[in-house]
Amino acid sequence: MSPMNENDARELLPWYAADSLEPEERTAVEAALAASDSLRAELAELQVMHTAVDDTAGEAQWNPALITRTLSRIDALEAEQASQGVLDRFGNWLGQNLFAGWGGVPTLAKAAVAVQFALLLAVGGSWLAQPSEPGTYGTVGLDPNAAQIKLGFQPGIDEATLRETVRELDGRIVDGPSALGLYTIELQALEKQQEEEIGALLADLLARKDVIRGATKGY
Amino acid sequence: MSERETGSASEREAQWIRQIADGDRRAFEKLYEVYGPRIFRFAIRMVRDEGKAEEVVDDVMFEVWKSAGRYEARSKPSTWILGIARFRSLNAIRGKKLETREIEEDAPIADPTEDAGEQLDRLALAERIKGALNDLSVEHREVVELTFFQGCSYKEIADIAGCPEGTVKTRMYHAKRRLQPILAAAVVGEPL
Repeated sequence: MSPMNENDARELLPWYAADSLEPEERTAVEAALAASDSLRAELAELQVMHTAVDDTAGEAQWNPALITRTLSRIDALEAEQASQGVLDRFGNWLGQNLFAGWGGVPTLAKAAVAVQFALLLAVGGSWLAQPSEPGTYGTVGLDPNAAQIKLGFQPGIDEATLRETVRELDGRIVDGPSALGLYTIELQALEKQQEEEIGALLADLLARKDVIRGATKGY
Repeated sequence: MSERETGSASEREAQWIRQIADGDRRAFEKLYEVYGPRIFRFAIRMVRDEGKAEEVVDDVMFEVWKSAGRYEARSKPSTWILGIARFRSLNAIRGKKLETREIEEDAPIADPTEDAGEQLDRLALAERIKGALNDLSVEHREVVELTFFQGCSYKEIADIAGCPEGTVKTRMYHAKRRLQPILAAAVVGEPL
């Protein structure tokens, strides 16, 4: 690489300070730095800027339990896709079998039959999309007004501790464990709109780091 | 968290993305652990609203789950993911219009090895820089954030922002010019 002029080096100084230049660029900037007082002064300012930007990192707290929100969306997406998959397979079957030899039947009549099958399929598809993994808790008899939270327990927590924790919450497990080991707990003493109380409860739970690895509102 | 992303970290993350494309939730959880906080930090710098920043993280990672099969490794995973984060943040800013509010700030954590005077100086400087960063335009702010906090090269920033490399350098020039009086005072040790 030919020697870099001072202006080109100045343009690259922020990324030199942040250590993200390619090795060749880095070498060229270092050569320019060695020859220029003003570049070195600017580098000192940029290093202050780098440190200061890092220091502003603690302004808001990252909530690791946010993942449960995304996983709930993924669950819903997969349920929808499972349902759609059944619909598609059935549609293909209809095309290959039911309508085979129906060349002379009016299109409207075929459409009416297809709609009836589709309705049947939608009902069947939603039934098939329900979680049916053995050994998990199912969603039966949910109280529509009761608050729900999702809890992840620390690895190695035994079942007795898990049940005791749920009992202390005056709750019951209505779903889980998910693929990530999260349980959905229905809180019998709290309603969905009691957000402040739910927030305080979640904060208490998150403080119990020996038992709880994550806690967030259920959705 | 300004350290450069190593090649092996990129390869590992690219592998996770391939696994996610096959529906592997453990790989998704690992990627989330790495990128959730990074996206949150980037989004909060951009949208300046904690709730909106969490929505951005949720939207970005959901998009990663849905689009993992289309990731072709032509760019680093960080470039791809931060590109999505930028797009979502800009949408959040447009949706938010002028209803910005200041983030409730926790006191920055002081380094116990510094003496009290140094700590105050650093925290005061961080405050002033933060104020000045918040006054920058979104385009200038994102270049500073991606450079100094996310550790992105100017080429990666050009990919993320979808603009020429020269534009990235120009935006950084303007951002520096706005921040320069504060930085110069800090270097010579003037009271902040």
